[in-house]
Amino acid sequence: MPKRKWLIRISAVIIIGGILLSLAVATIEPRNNLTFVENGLRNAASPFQHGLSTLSSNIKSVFAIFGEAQKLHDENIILKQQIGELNNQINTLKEAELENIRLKEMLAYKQKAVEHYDLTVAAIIAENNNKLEHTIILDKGSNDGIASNMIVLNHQGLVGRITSVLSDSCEVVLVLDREGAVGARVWETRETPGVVEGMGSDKNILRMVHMPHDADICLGDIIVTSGLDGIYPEGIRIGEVVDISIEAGGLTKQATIEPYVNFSKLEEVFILTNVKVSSDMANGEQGGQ
Amino acid sequence: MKYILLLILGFFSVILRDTIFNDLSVAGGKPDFMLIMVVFFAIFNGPLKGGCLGLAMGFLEDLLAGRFIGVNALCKGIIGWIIGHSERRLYKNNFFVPIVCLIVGTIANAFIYYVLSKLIGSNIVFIGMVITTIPDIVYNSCFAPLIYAAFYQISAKDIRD
Repeated sequence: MPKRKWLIRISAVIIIGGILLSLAVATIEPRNNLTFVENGLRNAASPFQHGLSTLSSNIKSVFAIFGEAQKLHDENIILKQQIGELNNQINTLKEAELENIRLKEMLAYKQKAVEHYDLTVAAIIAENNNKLEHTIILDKGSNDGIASNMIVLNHQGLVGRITSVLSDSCEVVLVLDREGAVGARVWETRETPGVVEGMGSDKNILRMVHMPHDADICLGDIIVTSGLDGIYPEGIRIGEVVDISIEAGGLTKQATIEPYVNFSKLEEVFILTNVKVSSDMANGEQGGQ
Repeated sequence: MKYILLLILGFFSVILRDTIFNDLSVAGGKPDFMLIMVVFFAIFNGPLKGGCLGLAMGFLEDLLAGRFIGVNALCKGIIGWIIGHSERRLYKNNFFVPIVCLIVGTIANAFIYYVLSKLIGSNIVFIGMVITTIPDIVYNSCFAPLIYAAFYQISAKDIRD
């Protein structure tokens, strides 16, 4: 009896094993259609699979935030560094662009002024601007043929004059300084001589004094150098009249002048080394005002 | 009733393995809850019942997620039958007994799967099978104590009844 039982079991194992192996061999090739049992089971599993997959990806995305935090932190540091570097590049490019604009304007002025003046370009290497003093230091000196009392200007107008010269640098007293007074006149009338001087303040403003009380001067008139002081050649633009008043005593007039030169943005200037032909450069020829 | 319940658990264990544990797989390894259940069931119920449950579970796995029908059924059937032979020889209160049985079962399952696959002409790679079996062993062993405790309780209740 046990032998029969054993035989039945062996037979069952062989039959079941054979059937299953046959099934495996029959299904080894990819099938286009599943059996109805497989279809039923897989359809039954589908909603659970969908729900658990969604749950799993949600959990995964929550944990991914923690996993990503360090990566994002590192990325943030790198991006901040890149932003800093790019900002530096942008600033450099803006600087170059502004310099380009300035140099173009100065070149245009130099080309126009070449018939009248010999000009040398100089860069400002130091400034001393306060209520009492308005001076700048330029990077050109006696080695470049620069001498005292040479005039400094840019494409906008008169800047000042050189007071002291070293071998590779020179000091310029600006027209804003009380020591930088300039003989001037009204360009429109070619009359009304006066003296333009600084106000003794840190404001970017000048005044024209010692004009006769009946001087023909109006608001908006252009003031240019008169050439009468023997230092400044005539016809260099200084500024525009923005206010007119009678001086104390009532005998003379004074005018407030807004200089054409923006002294707070000076970077490159011309040193007038030689006057070929004295000419009036007040309008049109004097830069792009 | 017990078998139906186990088959339902097997059904959900395949779904869990292919969804949540698919995302939590370590080095390609995933827990094989069906194998764990077959091994533990065989420990308490002997080779015949173990083998039958293995066949049924494996067949269910083949139908639900298998590439070719029959291979998992044969694998798990053989595992259930082999482990079931140790039913009377094992001291079931020892904590390490189920873990050792499960490690042996997992290795044997992989080996039988490889042999059967080769037999029917599949191009399964031996190294690949070994590489995924190692994390499978670790994963299965992690779940072993919890599932064994459940089987132990049910078995103890059956004995009491």
